[in-house]
Amino acid sequence: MSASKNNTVTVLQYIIVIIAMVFFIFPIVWMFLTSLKNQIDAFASTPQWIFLATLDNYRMILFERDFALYLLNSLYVSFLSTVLAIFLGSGIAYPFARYRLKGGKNVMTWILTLRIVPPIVSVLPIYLVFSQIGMLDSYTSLVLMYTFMNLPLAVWLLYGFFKDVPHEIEESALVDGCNRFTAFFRVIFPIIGPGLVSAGLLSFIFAWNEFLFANILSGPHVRTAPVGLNEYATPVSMLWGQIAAAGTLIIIPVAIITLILQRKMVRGLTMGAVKG
Amino acid sequence: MKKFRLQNSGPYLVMAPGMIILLLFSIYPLIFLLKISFQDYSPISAVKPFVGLDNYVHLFQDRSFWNALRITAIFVASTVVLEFAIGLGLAIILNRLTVGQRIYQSILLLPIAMAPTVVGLMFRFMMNDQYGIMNYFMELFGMSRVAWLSNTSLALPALIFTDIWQWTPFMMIILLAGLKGIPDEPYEAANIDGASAWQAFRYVTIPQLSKIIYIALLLRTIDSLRIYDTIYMMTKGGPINVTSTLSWIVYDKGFKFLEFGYGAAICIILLIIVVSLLTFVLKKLDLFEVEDRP
Repeated sequence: MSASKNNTVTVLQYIIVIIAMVFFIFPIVWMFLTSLKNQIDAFASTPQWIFLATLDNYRMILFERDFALYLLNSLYVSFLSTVLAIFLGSGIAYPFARYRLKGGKNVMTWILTLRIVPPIVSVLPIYLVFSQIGMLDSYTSLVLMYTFMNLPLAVWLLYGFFKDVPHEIEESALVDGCNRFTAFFRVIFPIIGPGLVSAGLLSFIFAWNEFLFANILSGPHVRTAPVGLNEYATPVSMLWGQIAAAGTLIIIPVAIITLILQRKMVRGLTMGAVKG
Repeated sequence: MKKFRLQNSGPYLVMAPGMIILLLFSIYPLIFLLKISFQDYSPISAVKPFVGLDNYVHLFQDRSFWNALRITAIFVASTVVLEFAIGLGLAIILNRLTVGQRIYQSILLLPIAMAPTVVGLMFRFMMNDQYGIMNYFMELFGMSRVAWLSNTSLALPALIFTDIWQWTPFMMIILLAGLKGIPDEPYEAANIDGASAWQAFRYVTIPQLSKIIYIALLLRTIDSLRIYDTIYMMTKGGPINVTSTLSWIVYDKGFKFLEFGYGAAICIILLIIVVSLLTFVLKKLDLFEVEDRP
């Protein structure tokens, strides 16, 4: 009796999970399918499940419009700001994790609050400052902005990773004749390498997806992919096929990164508070 | 134990570049914001007279501000509560299943990592009244087609729905990590004491999970307050102003009407709201494990 009841419950649970998974994956699949459709199929009022697939939308946005350039801009800005955030973030995280610094706890809490303040409050001043010093529509402004936005995450994640490295390892390196810098690069660095990579990949995702600042700081010269995406959504017509193709291209790198990181994402998404 | 005592300025030199960026980008905008919130500040006019508290007085009389405050509150409350409830339910079920762990984890991570701009446009496409697939499904179930995003009573629910799609997986993933961390012993003890499934959930799962629940709710509230990208792509604050959140009107006043001074005043109020929320939870911030261990 109870065994068969248990079976029913298990089957029911699997059904619920499958429905939920279909719900979460469907919009992505639908976007991908739409990106392969011609204009007529995309706008059909009855969804076309079977259709003649075409790469026209991709060809259009990559070769006849500038989307390839926007992707490259995004890549450049995200990559550079990620490297900077990790580099500068290590500089902050390492001393706080290793030395007993005065007010260390307060500084770390302050850095955490920077993650909490809504970015919209700095949009107006940032825009004015960058326009006054003539840096709108430049790579530098976006790279600096994203470095700033990713620093709190990088500091907190790296702080956690540095804390996880036992003192003794470092002490023995110092005894063996390393100084602080060589100990860091030869001993600590290899140990937290995986941590650095996951912090870096997460920073990359956030910079890659960012829209608020990209929208106000970028112009015709430096346009990132999420801003360029908006070009196909004109008030006159929505080119859904091209939008879907552009959207697919934007999420491909991010999808690959999440597949690499898997459970490590949890730690990053919670500023290191939950270790997945 | 003074081995790691500070002997020189090394650590400060190493952290200086990063700290300078953090300070520059956080303190300077704040001062600037405070200053122009007392000004009639338009980026295209040469004179930017100080007008005292005019912007703030205007703010409290401005119905669009109160509307935005209300919309933001509704949006944040409903997304966080629904995502938490659905997320916890699904996480508990997922935690019991043994097959396909890796697959569902990979699926759940995708919505979280997607650009909100893409998500917004995708849902705008699916919610279209003529060719949107959501309406097709609704017709299959005997309902009639609706123009989700241009209907004043449906636009906000449509945004909430989109947010739930993207961020429920976030709740699930975090809560699932928490559930996996709960040892078996308390459950065994509860079982021996004859606790029912509900009692085991109420008196074992919830207390063991409380720290994780707190973190998940806190992070989700913070991020829900920021909603901007999806609004930009889906409704642009409309129809009329039923989806104009605080973030949206700051952008709207600033970059559409060029009323930077007024926009700054709204930002200051938003900051006050966030900071008061913060002091409310600041004690709990040690959830994020700042240790004083040298």
